[in-house]
Amino acid sequence: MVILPVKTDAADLQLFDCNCMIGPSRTPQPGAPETASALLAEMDRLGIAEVLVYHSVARSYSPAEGNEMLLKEVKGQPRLHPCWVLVPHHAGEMPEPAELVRQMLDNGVRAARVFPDEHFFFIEPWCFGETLAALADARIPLLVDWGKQHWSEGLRGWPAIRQVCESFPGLPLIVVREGIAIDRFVGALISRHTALCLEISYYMGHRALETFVNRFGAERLLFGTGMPMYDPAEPIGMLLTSGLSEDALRAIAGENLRRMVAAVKAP
Amino acid sequence: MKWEQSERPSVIVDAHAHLGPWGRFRIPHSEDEVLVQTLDRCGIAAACVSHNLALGADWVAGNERTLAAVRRNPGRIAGYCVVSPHAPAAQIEAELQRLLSHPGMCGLKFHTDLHAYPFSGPGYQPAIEYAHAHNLTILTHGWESPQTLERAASQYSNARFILAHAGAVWNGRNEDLNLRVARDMPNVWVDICGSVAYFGALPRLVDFLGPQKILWGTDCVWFDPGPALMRVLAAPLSDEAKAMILGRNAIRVLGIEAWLRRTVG
Repeated sequence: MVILPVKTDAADLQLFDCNCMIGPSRTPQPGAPETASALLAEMDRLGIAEVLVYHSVARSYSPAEGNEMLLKEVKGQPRLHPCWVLVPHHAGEMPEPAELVRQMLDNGVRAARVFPDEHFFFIEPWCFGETLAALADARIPLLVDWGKQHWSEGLRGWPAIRQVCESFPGLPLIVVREGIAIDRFVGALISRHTALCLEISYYMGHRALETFVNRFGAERLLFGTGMPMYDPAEPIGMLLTSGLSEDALRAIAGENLRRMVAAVKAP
Repeated sequence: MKWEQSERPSVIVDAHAHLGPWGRFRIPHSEDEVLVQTLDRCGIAAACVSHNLALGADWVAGNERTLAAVRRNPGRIAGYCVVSPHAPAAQIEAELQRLLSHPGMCGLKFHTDLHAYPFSGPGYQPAIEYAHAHNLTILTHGWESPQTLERAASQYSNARFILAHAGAVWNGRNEDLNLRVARDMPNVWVDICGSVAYFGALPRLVDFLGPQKILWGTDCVWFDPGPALMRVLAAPLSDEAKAMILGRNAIRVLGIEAWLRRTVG
């Protein structure tokens, strides 16, 4: 149909999507996968090897109940890696941080995700610091989702990200769904905090990937799709037409995330 | 899914693109030289641009930069003449006459948000009347309401209206009266240029409008064209529908077939 600039196809890149949800949605997109089998079919269609997935119930109803449902949904599915949604433990919704991390690791959960605005809490250390410390000790990657839907929301959340980076420099932090309007400040953080990464499903500025990689290397970007809300073909297109080297493509496509997940350890 | 190189590519035309930097955020590469390299990288024959300077502070100087880029890149970069509704009617008519006589200048561009002016206001009337009189296309970002759009499309039936972003911001779930107007009026189309692409929305859009009503756009140089390209290529649509959306419709609606032959033969 078109002359693609690279011969590598999506399957060759061993794509590992770090930004994916499973479960029923209150605003279901047409044809969007909600179950493990449907998600796997969509992954096969697009050439996505693995996904890091959280549960819709954990986001919109109950983190604790949704996290349990997630474990059942991905059981026996080695391509679907569970990611728990966390809130602060102070209100009694989550175990004490050390116990939380123990439960995560016991259940094969090697990544966490937070929705600070949507779940009405502060990610800054005064509110979430004990959990952040426990995650940092175990090197568990934390995905931060501010619920942004449009690039014009670019500034929101970044002062808090800066505080977390400065307080917990070893915590692998992945900020998801950031758009084209972050370039005037994000470099100042990326260059100072080596554990800070961006998920690329919405980072789609003209030649944004190659511009970023030329400045900061390919290790700080992670492939993600935003399924089932957003079209997963877009970030795949971004990668395949980026003009990046094969090594950089593979790093962003999946190797960076695999390395982060493999580095998780018992505290 | 395998992404294979094709020896017989469909002609791809970006019906909604830009040149130039933008004040609100950094655009790493906004020059026409780089845009053409990007078109080559993605297998895109041509892009139809409006200049960001024309959408920002100075519509006349910005349009002049568009024209210069069109002249530098025959067959690759086509241009829209941005209209400021705040300018006197005589100046608008003179600018349209001067600019749109050049090969590769393919239509008019309205941006009601940035110019903070209503689509149905008198400031746009000279331009709409000009488009009607000369069978021209208006790419309009903003049209006030489905009713104002329908009135304009009925009254100025020789003008062609492309609703910027209308096919992209739709989530594929809820009824959108703008799309109904695009479906029902013979001189209204939508582009799928946009900052957000919802899962499954494009096939629903094609079901509702038909592929003949949809133009492909990217907003490059704000956005990279690669994601928007793959959005169409990976969609569960027929090859015929994809070819129409990716280029054939734009060539017809914008009347650029002869100009484009310089590129694709």
